[in-house]
Amino acid sequence: MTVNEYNKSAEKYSDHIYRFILKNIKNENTAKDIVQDSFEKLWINRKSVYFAKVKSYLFTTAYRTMIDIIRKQKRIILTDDNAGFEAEYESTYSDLQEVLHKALERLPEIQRSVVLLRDYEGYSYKEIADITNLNESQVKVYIYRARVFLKNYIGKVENII
Amino acid sequence: MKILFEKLKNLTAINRHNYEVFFLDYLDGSLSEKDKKELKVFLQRNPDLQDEFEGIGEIKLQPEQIFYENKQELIKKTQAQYFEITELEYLCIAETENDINYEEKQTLDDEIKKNTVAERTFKLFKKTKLLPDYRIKYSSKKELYHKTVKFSLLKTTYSISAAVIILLFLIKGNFLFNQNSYFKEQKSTFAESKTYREKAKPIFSDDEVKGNKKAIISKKNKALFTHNQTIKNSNNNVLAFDDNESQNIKNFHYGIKIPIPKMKNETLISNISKSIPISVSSTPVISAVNYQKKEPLLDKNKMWRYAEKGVKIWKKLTGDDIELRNVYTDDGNIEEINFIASNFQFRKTYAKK
Repeated sequence: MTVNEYNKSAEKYSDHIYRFILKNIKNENTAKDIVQDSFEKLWINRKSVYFAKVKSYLFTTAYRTMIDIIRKQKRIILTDDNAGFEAEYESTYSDLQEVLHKALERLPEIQRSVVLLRDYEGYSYKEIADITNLNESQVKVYIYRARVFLKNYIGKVENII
Repeated sequence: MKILFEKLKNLTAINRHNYEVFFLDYLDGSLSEKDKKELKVFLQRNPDLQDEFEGIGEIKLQPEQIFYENKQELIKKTQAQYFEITELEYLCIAETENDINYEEKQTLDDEIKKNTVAERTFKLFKKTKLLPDYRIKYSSKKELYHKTVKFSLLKTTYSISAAVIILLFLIKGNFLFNQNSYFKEQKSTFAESKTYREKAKPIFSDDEVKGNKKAIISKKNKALFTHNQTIKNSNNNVLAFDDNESQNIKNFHYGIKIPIPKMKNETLISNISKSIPISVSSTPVISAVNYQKKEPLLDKNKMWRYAEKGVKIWKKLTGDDIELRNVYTDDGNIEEINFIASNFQFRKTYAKK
């Protein structure tokens, strides 16, 4: 990858990476650090990364950096357990996407990540599996369970509204 | 054997020779109602066979109550069961995810048509698609950029120097260092040269008149001057030669000497003044000698230092893995050149002079 291609990647994908990370961890500074760290790694490894694969490389790097940070900070427990969760339903939502993003925050970490990669970036199960180091079946299970949760959430909010 | 029994049974009615076949069929439950009636009549007529008939029933094995304990492991879960969601939820999500096959789509459509709850569920699932929040932007994007090549005069000079030197180096790696062989082979001109014109002072060995520009040639010593006489310098290197040498060279006055201007070994004489017809009665006058003094563009070591700087700048700006590493002798001359790129490496060592 050339310098120009690297700069194009920074122009094109930095917002995507930042958005993805920020939606996962609600901390702007940490999200920015992760974006910088990911692009620094890309710059170091630019000769072994093809421009066509740079987006996946960035998401993979950013995701794994984020997981490392989360584990170190122990802010979020990585679990796929929705059981016992009692959502608080607000009635001040302005639109459906706002409701969905509120629901998104309540998803378990891993489900939130795979749904964001699926909906924000349009990645296939296989691509998501590569980024998150899961297998395709696990990715599919997480996405389906996340959809059920989101559906139930917006269903209850609709009832309230 | 059973086929044979069947034929035997069909051919004849029940009698004391074939009754066992009827007994076994009765036990298996394969006896027709008509045969059962015949069997009943037969037993009434032959009461001695009653015990045998009842005994046959006792030899039939009854199945034991044995069950396979791991039956559940053999049962395959549906996708919905695997995901721990309902069948309807699975179908709705599969459709939302564009991950549904034809049969599943048919099932979902049928369910939605006949069930309003299914329809509402499906609509809710359709709404679970998240859209990116484009208001979120990475504000420090400029910090991520790396500089591309910015041309400045100095940097461009260095880069071009590097490119030219490397190219020449690859074409003819020793051209800068072995001057003798270079001059022997060199036919083209240097990039930069100056033409000098210097007054010639032909001196004749026998009749030299010092301080007199005119020299006298005796009648018997005919000579024909043409332009570009072969002239050698003090080191006996050919500096000029006559490409149209006279046939009368044998008559050349061997004593003639043209003083060669004090020139460094880069000097090359190109021609002499126009051909001068010489006659026995005339006095040859060589008015001037034209020569070209050749000077290299730059000192060789300076060139390589330019090349080194150029390569370093190129490497810094582009990130390419190239390196020009020279080894210098104590007196500052280049002893060894290493050109290292990502794909190949080239090294040349020059013998010390």
